[in-house]
Amino acid sequence: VKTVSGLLADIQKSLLERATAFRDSHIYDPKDYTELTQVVQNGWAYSYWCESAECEAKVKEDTKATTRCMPLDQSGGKGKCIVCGKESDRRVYFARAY
Amino acid sequence: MSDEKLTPRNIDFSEWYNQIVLRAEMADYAPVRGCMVVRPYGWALWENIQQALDRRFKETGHVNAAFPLFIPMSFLEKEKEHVEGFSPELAVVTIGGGEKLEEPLVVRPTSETIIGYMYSKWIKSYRDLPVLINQWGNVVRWELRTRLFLRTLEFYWQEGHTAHTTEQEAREETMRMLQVYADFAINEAAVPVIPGVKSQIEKFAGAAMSTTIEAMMQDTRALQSGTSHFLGQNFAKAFEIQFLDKDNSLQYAWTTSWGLSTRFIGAIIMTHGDDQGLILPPRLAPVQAVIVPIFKSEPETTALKSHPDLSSMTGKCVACHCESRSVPKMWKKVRSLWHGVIDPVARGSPSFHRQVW
Repeated sequence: VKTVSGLLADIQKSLLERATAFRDSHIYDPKDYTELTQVVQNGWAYSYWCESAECEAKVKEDTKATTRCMPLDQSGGKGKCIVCGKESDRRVYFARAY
Repeated sequence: MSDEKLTPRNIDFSEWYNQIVLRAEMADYAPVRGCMVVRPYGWALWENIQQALDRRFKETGHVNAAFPLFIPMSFLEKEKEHVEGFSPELAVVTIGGGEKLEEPLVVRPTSETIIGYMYSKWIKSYRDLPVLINQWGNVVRWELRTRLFLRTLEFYWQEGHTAHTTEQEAREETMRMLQVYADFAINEAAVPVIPGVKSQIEKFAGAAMSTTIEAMMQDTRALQSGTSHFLGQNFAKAFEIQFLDKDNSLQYAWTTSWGLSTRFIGAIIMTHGDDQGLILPPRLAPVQAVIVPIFKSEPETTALKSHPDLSSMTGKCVACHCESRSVPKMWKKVRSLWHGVIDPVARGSPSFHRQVW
């Protein structure tokens, strides 16, 4: 019983580690809009975004990727909107979704 | 049920998913387009999901209740964005008992409206708040493109609906439940979700702000796996959920809603499964281990089944299943792989088992 319970706990842990590693290796920080359109074909783009509906719609039209979420714990940095270049302090995940 | 190999994920991920759901006997297609039958193995997984979530809801002060399946059509029209968002997906009942109904009834797509109506009756004073109710149930959304578990006309879920005296309290509740979902997904399902805020376009119809847990599937597509909404006073105003505050002045309540559905089963399958079959996180798996007795004679199998170690294994910490010997050996192994359970094979005579366990 002990052996199997330990084995199950190990499996639980390794499943999370494997899925996390897979996720992290498919999240990209594209340097420009062209690169964004490429990375969302096989991954997520984590980019600064001005929060305008226009920029969001453009990405969707060009790539089928939508904004997924603006994560809670952001580093607090600033950058330029990956679509229009406007100054922004929030990043968002762009990805194709189910 | 064919004995063929699964279509590999890198050849056709979506076909791999469909095959795994069917072969692992988690769900099947219903006679009505877009509907699914959740089979016992799939439902057992859902029950474990329910338990893990329900425990967390109770720990954060929530209680369960049950609201009706039918909602008067006029209720949905009370919140403008809500009806605009949901009207294309509504199933509507117009005839009951052979008679045309005076007012059409909507089969609930979500229950903010009917629960808002009831809250307006129950909430009179700040002393009645907060109200923290969850319901487990099914809802109907007339989707065009459907996939087993991921998007079906009818699905099972829980929906929490809370009402508060202040904006801050309702916002805190929204974030608290988002964290409950994230904790559940990561620690029970081993699905590494990212919690965050939805854009204005992607938010829930009628919400002031929506939050979500987003998961990456093995084809790198994102799956929204649970949502928690801050509804502001939108539904409180539409349904007149008002209370007298400490200074005896009438105020609108602040409400939230949050839900997680059988879609999450799709998230688990597409996060963990491989080309051999289903892989389930042990903490949620209905069957964690299978013992496959490989003996020459029937008495040896009987001896194993009555072995005290085995009963302690099945009874206590491991959800364990002892396969019947009548099933061919290879078939058992294949089936276990599809079902995503580990099978430590017990070999030899009963005296050997002590060492194994």
